[in-house]
Amino acid sequence: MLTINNLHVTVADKPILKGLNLEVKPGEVHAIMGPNGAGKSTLGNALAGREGYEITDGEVLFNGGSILDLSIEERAQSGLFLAFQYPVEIPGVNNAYFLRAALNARLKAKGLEEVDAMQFMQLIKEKMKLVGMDKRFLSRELNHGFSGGEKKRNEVLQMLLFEPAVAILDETDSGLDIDALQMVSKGVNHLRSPERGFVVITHYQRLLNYIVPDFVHVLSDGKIIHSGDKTLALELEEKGYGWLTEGAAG
Amino acid sequence: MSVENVWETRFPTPLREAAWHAFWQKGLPTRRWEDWKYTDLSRLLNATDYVAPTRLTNENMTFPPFPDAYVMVLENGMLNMTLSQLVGLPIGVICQPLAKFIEQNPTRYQHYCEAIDPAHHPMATLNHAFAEQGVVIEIAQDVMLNKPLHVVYVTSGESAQLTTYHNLVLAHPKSHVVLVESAYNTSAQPQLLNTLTQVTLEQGAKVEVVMQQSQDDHLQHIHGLHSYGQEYSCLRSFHLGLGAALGRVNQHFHLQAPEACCHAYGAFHLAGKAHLDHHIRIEHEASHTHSDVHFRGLLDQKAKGVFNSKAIVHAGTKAVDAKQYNHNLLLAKTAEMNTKPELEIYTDDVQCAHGATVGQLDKEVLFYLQSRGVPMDLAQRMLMETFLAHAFDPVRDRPYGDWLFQQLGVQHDV
Repeated sequence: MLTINNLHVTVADKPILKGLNLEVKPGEVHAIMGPNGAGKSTLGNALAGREGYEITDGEVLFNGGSILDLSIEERAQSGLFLAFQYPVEIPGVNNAYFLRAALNARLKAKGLEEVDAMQFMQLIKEKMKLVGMDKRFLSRELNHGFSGGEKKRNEVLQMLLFEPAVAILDETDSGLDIDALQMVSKGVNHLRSPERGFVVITHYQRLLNYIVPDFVHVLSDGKIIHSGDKTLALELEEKGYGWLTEGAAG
Repeated sequence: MSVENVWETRFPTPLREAAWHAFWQKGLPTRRWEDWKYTDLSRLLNATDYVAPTRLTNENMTFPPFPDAYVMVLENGMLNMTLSQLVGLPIGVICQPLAKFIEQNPTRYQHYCEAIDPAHHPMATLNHAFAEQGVVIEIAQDVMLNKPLHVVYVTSGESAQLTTYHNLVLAHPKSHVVLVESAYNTSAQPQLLNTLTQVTLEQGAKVEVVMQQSQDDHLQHIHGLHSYGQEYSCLRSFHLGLGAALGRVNQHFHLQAPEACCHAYGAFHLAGKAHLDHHIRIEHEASHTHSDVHFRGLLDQKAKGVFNSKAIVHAGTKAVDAKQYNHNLLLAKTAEMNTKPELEIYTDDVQCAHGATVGQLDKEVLFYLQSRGVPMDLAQRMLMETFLAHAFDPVRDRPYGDWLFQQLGVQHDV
């Protein structure tokens, strides 16, 4: 459902991704690990369509069509979701208001009927339970003054609400305590289904104890240099990346 | 010169003659005047052959309504009686046309005219020279006007007019009144509208003055608001600028006795070649006086904005607090904002603060919203609304708060 072929991405004239290949099929969870500066976050940003991430070569097919010519919101509306490593704070924008606006924009794009305030409240309450958020979050300003854990929960809440076809989680575990990590993982696992794909970008094996991947890839210097099953994450935890990156360089 | 042409056709009274001569002591403001640095009024006035207002009124004329208010419609220099509605005014409230007030109270009227210094307020002086019509509202002690008075200025017709209105709000002790002014134009010719509202607030009086200036490529609006506040009086003003071809806000507030306060708020959303110049002065003439100025603006395309507000804390006063804030977002590279909140302090015991910002919509935030599926234009409107909403926070609970915010046109339905 998501096919990335030979993706080259340049940021501020500096090549970051240098021929990345990845195929995510429905129901699969792919973990991407790798040293700092390998291009992990660039992958998420480039897929989401962020300004300044220039695709110089390669293609990204999502459900059979290229997404590279789509706007940021069209990519999102088509079912691609990026959970941010650092969700921005938007003071003045009410969380519930934002969530409903985003949900309705997606429904509208699909030609479906939009939800009214009552329907939305019913929908969101169920989802909030899953990530352990109480209803006070809805009346707060979007991510404003949220703790690191609250911001990540809010990201997962959005994912639960939007039910994307493919979700990319960019270091969603960073800055989380164990309780929050479990809560976030619970939300992700709730969404796992034979129709949905996940790309989990992380530095630590710990997250993968909770969100068990089908594949683990090592991203280094803009390419996937090694792939394996979930045991690769444990091996990396033990040995680091040196044995792979040196091999790639050699 | 067009201003002189208009003068030739007016009926001169000794008072108008005096104002006319006082005006010509300095003449039309040019950009060489510090207070008119960004607004070339002289060139503008000389470029158009204005005539005196036609005095034609139209019974079928329409304008966006203000919910539940007394209404006075001033059209092309005349009071439009058909569209005005004053039925039900409480006892203790007198609302009458300016012409009638001048006729009955020539000395009082002269007193109000002389309260404004011609050297600093040329357009107010020109207003005194020309004004034949306007609204005078007088509220007796302890009386509260039960709903706002909406004064609507309408210009229409085939000629470029210079239309002048002078309003007086005379609030006796502990009275309360809300005055909402709106300016609309239906003419395709340049319309120079020079309005002046003078407000006297006696002890404990509360007066709220709202000015809504509509978006119009032919409207040139000089808005004057002068107030004189006694003990425990409170003046609250809100100026909404939606993008007239030229807008000039001249506000001068005198806090003359302890515990007098004034809150000057405003918001503007300008596009095209709209030009809006705010010039605000607050005189803390007595101890224990308080002022608060907060304006926010959005400027798009080739719009140009100016914000110059100064709080002057006079010598010998103490325990004064004054705040001056102006925040702006530029939505296009070609838009321009010049902002200068100032404090001039001649005493020690003060609490003063001022600040100004000019920024852009945050790209990170826009990306975040778009990445959730929110279309670009909706994401921008959400941020614009959020930005401007802060300016409305202090008037949300007022009878005009929601109405004003809706006029902005940045809101969206989810």
